Amino acid sequence: MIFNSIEFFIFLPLVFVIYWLIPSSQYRKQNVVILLASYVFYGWWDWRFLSLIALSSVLDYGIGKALAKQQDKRQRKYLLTLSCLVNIGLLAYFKYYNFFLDSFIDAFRFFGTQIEVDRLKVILPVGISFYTFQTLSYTIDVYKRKIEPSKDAVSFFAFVSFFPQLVAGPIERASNLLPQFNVKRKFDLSASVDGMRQILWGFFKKIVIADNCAVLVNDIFAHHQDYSGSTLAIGAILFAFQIYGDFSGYSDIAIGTARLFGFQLMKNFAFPYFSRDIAEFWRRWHISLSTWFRDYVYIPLGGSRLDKSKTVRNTMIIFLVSGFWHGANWTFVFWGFFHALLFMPLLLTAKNRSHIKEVESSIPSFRTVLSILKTFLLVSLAWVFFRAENVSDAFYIISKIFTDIREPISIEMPMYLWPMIFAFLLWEWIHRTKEHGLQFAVFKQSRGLRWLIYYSIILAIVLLGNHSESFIYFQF
Amino acid sequence: MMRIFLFRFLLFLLPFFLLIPVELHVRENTFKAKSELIEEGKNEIELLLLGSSQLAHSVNPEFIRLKTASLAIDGSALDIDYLLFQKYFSQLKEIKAVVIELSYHSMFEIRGEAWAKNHLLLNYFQINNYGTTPSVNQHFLISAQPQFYLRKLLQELKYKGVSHYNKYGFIDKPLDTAIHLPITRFRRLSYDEERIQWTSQDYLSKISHFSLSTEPFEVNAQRLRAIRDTCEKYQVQLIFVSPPKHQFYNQKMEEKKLEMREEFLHEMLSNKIVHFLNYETDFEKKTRLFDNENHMNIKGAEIFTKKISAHIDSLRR
Repeated sequence: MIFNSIEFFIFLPLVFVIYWLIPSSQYRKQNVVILLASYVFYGWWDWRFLSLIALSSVLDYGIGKALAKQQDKRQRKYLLTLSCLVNIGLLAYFKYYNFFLDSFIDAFRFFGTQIEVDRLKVILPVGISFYTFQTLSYTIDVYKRKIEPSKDAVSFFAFVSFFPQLVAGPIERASNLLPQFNVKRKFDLSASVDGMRQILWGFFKKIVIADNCAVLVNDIFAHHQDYSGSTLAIGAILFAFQIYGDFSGYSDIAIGTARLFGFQLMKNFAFPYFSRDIAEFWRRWHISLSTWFRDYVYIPLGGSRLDKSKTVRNTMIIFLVSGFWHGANWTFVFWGFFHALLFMPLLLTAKNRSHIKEVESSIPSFRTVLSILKTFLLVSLAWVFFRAENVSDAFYIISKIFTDIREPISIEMPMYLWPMIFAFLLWEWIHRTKEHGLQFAVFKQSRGLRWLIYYSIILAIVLLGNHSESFIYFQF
Repeated sequence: MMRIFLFRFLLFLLPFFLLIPVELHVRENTFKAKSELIEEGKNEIELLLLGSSQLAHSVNPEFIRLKTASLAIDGSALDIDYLLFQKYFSQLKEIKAVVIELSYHSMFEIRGEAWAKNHLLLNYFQINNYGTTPSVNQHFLISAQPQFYLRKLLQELKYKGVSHYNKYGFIDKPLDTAIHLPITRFRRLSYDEERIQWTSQDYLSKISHFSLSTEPFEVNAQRLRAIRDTCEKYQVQLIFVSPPKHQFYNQKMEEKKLEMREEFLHEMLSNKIVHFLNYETDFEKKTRLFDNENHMNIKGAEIFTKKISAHIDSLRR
């Protein structure tokens, strides 16, 4: 089931009403509702893949319990290794098997040997990268004794499969989400209203911003050889808005939906295109993933506590792994590598934490605007690797952008597109210190004006929305 | 708290509830008639018609002897016909023959995922042609194409009713010349041959039929072969039809595309359940039977339908 489908619009109110009909003192029954709803939500795509979530849940619940009982260090390590092997093994099988196979075949061909191996005909289970990381974080935290193992199977299963964030995040930590299943959840009017606002804002970003950009982006990238460098540059910039609208829109809907049920998910995006350098961008983009890698890969590798060369190595690993996490294609690895290259100068000159604070002034200085613009253009250039079909296409596009930029833009764009993007950016800038774009920084006092804005957004979704695109991050 | 939340939420939704009568009103159209007829007649329909507006406007099922359902739709193409065939063929217990339009342009046209009428397929025939899960607004006409339906509503208010159709979804009263410009061309020009000829070039250059690429030919051919195989399995006659066109349309047809169709038909007609009825030139000089260069008018449809009905009967004997 996807968020922008009629099924979800029936499913959500139904689950909401059933959930809150149960007295909050009986939160375990509410957890059962969440669990069943989550399995229905996921099974809507393909019920067979429910077995994978169930398998991960059973395994990690059992290992969590075993870890609590086990005091022997070596045995505990075995248990952790088992969890990692099964979870990462499933992910590798479904997501990366064919990629590795193709890469081996290519490598052999490079050395003049032809080998014939059958590719697997497997479908990638939706959201496998997300829930695998979520359940792994639980086992690792229990192993490190950062959290107590769950004693309630239902709440643990509900934590792994929690439907608002099951297929595209935010990737929640057991330490944040799991305890919320084990306490009473009271209906909170203001949180629910704000959740609804966040859902609406998410739909706007997805349907109006992302999907409108998608029409042009799909055309430009599919026929990149026919377009001028300037058009390809436009394509890269529009893709930057598409992927942001798409993914952060999904996160907003997920966080807003969770709030309707009394859950607080972590923030996943913090207006990343207002970043003043790449380091700041990575503190604001897909926060749940980058902090996951920081906590479970970067820090265990030594982080930045070791000498400079090891810090560089660790940083490079993080970017490459993060790229690879997005998909079984070299384009994603190059995307990660490109970001690593952009990040390294900041790391080596110890400037990677120079923009920790938000820009305070509502009218930014010229220097700040330049920094933001420069960062945005670099990020957009990197997105070319992310979006291109293969690495050679990506290099072709980038080289054409730099060599053919003076040729006129050769694609027709709807008249409203750029004013709409500009208005969207302006609105986000005004709300950059808020949790989302509809947590009003202006018109706070006037309900009439707020409602007018809601209706205008709905009207924009209906009139300007392009409704045929699926969420990009489902494929990861 | 919950009560306040639900109250406010319902209050917020109130304007949308006011749209319900509008939605119900715009839902009354030829698609509804066609969908109801086929849903209610699954146990008695003997003939299924599939095709574009050219077939929809030239065949009035009222004059066909067999019990007929016409799913010929304005703007349809073979990919849509194929989806409709897949959906309904197995449900029609008494089906004897399937008529599919194979006009000059048919083999070269594909509508696909971005077709503007996909929401009508979804709402009336439960066919998902979006290539993805349809979003919420596609499940309501007014939200799927708000500008179109609001304009339609305004026109209805201004001109008192836009179209009148029979239980088969066939438009059986002349359309308003003030609203339906292309389809009432000949009437607006008072059937004046000279004026029609002057303006014909402009009209024909605006319709896609003569600029279509030959690329979709093979994929459409595959669809038709699949339909033939299904029909053969159940011993149902498959009748390809090219309905009548006006001479100005016929004069513009390219030899190469006609040859491609001929070649394909040669292959198909080797199967005895397959027939091709070509009426392209039958009425080509009878301007008063047409609404424009490629659509018959109500009178033309009556004459043509009687002819094709007799022809189908003779094939079945």
